[in-house]
Amino acid sequence: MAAGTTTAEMTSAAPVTRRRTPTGDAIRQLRKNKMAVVGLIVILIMIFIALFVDTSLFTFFTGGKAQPLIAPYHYAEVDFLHANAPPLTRTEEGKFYILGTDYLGRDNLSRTLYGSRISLSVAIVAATVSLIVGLIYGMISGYGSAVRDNFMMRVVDFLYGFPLIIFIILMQVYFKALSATDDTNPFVAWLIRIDDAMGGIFLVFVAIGLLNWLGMARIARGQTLSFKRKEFVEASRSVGSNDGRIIRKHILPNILGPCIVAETLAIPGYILLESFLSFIGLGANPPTPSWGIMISETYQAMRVAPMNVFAPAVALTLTTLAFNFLGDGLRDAFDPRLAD
Amino acid sequence: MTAYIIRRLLYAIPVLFCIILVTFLLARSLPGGPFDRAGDKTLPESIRQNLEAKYGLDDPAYIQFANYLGGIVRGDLGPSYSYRGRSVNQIIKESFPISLQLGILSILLAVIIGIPAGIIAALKQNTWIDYSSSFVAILGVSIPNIVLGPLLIYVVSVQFGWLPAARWGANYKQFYFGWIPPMTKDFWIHAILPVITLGTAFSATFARLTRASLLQTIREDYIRTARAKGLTEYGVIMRHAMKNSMIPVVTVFGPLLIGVVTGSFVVERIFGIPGMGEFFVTSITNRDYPIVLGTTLLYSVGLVLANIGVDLAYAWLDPRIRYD
Repeated sequence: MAAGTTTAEMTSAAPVTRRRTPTGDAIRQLRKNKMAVVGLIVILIMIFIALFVDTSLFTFFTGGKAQPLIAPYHYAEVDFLHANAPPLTRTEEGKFYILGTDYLGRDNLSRTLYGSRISLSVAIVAATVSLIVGLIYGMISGYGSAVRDNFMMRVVDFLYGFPLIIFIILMQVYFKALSATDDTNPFVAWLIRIDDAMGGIFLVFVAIGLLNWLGMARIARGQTLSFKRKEFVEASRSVGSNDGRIIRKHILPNILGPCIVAETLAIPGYILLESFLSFIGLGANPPTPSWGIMISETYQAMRVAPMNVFAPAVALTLTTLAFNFLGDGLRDAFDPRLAD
Repeated sequence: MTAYIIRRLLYAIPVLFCIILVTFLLARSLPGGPFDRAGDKTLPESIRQNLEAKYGLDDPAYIQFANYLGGIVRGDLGPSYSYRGRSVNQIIKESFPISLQLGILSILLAVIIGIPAGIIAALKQNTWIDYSSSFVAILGVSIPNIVLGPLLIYVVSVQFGWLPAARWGANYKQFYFGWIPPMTKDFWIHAILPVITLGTAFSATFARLTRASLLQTIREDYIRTARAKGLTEYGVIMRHAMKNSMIPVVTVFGPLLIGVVTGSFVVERIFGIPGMGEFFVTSITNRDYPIVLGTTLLYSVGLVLANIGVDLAYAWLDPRIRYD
C-alpha cells in the first residue's frame, strides 16, 4: 500500500516520496517494536509446526494415514520399556528421545509439537467466533435506536453477572457425559460426532466462544456509537445510502481495526482457558496431546521425570508470551491513544 | 447512595434466581445420577430407587426446585449425596474460608507488588527500570498457573526442600470468626507457594494497568497546575494523580475475581488444598447436585457483591460519578 505513488501527491508534498496511510504508519510502528516482531516470528514458526507436524495436511486430500513429519514419532506411540526416560535417551531399537518420554513411554518432543495444534486452533477459532458474534451484536446494538441499544446492553450486563466459567464447566461435563452414552437426539449425536472427530476440543471452542463475546460486543458497540455520528456517515446518508451500505462501507471498516487489536489481546486468555479445562480433565480427550493434559498427567511424578512437565510448560508459556507481545505491539501501533 | 445500594441489591435477586435455575437445569440434565455406583460397583436398582426417594429425587423437577428454593430461604443448602452424613452448609463452612484466604492473600500480593511496580515504572518511563519491570510484568501475565505451580514446587519444595509442596496449614476449627486464619508459622509456610502461584498474574496485570493509567493521568492539566504551584513530586503523584489513575485498575476487579475463582480450581488441585474449588470440580463428576448448586450460588453472590463494590469505588474515586 505504500508503493503506489502518484504525481499529484508528489507535487503536493515534494520531500515525501512515499504515500503515508494510517495502516502503513501502524505497520512501520509495529516493525520498530522488536518484541512484537519476535512474538510474530514465534507464532509463525508455531503455525508452521502445527501445519506440518505430520502429513495430515496432505493425506486430507490424498487419503491414507498421516505420518509424522516434523515430529519424530506419532503422539500416541507407546514404548512401555522406556517409560519416563530422561532426555537424550537412545534405545536398543534405535529410537532417540530428545526430551525423554512420559509415563507411557510416549515421546515428549513429539507430543509437545503436536500440542501446538490444539492451542493454536483454540486461539484462531475462539478469536474468530468471539470477534464475529461480538461485532454483530455490538453493531446491531450501537447502530439501532436508543431503546434497542439500552435493552441489548442490559442483556450483556446481565450475562456479565453470571459466573460463566462455572457454566462452561457444567456444559463441558454435560457434553463429556453425553459422548459416553448413545443419545438418540440427532442434533446431539451430530455435535458429538464433530467433537470426537476433533479430539474433544470442538466443544471447548463452543464454550470459549460463548464466554468471550461480551467484551467484544461492548467494544464494537462503543465504536459504532462514535462512528455513526461522524460527518462522513451523515454525508453518505445524504447521498442516499441505506443502513446496510453505511454499516458495510463506513462503520465496519472503521471499527474493525480496534476490534481486531482487542481480540488479539484476548487470545492468550483463550489459550490459558483451554489448558485450564484440559488440566482439570474437561478439555481434549486423551490421547490427543494438549499441553494442559500433558501437565496434569505428569506433574505429580515431577520428581522422577521433570521434563514431562517442563516440555509442555515451556511451549505453553512461550505461546502466551508471543501472543502477549504481539498484542501489545499491535495495540501500541494501531491505537496511538493507548501508546505512551 | 443508600437507595442506590438497596436498588442494586434488589436487582441482584432476579440475577441470582436465574443463576440457580440455569444451574439446577444444567446439573439435572447431566446424564447419570448420584447413586449410579458405590465405589466401583453399580448399585442394585431397588437400592438406587430407595436412595433417590430418600433425597426426594423421584419428585417432579419443579417440586425439587421449589423445595430447594425453600431451603435457600431458610439458609439450608441441603445434604451432600457423595459425602454421606454431611450437609452442604457444613462442607462450605469447612472449605470456603480456605478458598477465601487463598483468594484474599493473592489479591493482597497483587496489590502490594503490582501497584507500586506500576507507579515506579510510570515515573521512570523509558528507563531501564521501566523496561525491565514491563518485561517482568508481561512475563507474569503470560505464565499460566498450571506452569508456575509445578515449577515452584519443583524448585522450592523438591530441589531445595524449603517449603511444603502441598496441603493448607490450618483448618476451619482454628479460624477466628469462621474465616480468619491463625497467624501461625504452619499457616504461612503452606500459604506462600499457592498464593504466589495465584497472585503473580494479577500482580502483573495491576502493574501494567497502573503504569498505563498513571502515564495518561500525569499528562493532565491539573497535574501541571499542581506542579506549577510548587507541590513536591511526591505530593503531586500521591494527592492528585494516584486517585484518578486508579479508576481503570478498579475496573478489572470484576474480571479479576472470576480469575481468582478459576485459578483457585487449578491451584487447589496442584497443591492439594481442601478448598471449595476442589469440592466444586469433584462434585460435578460425582453428580453431587446440592454441592454444585450451593457452591455456584456462593460464587455468584460473591461476584454480584463485588460488582456492586466496584461501582461504589468508582463514585469514591471520581466525584463526577454520582448514583442516585
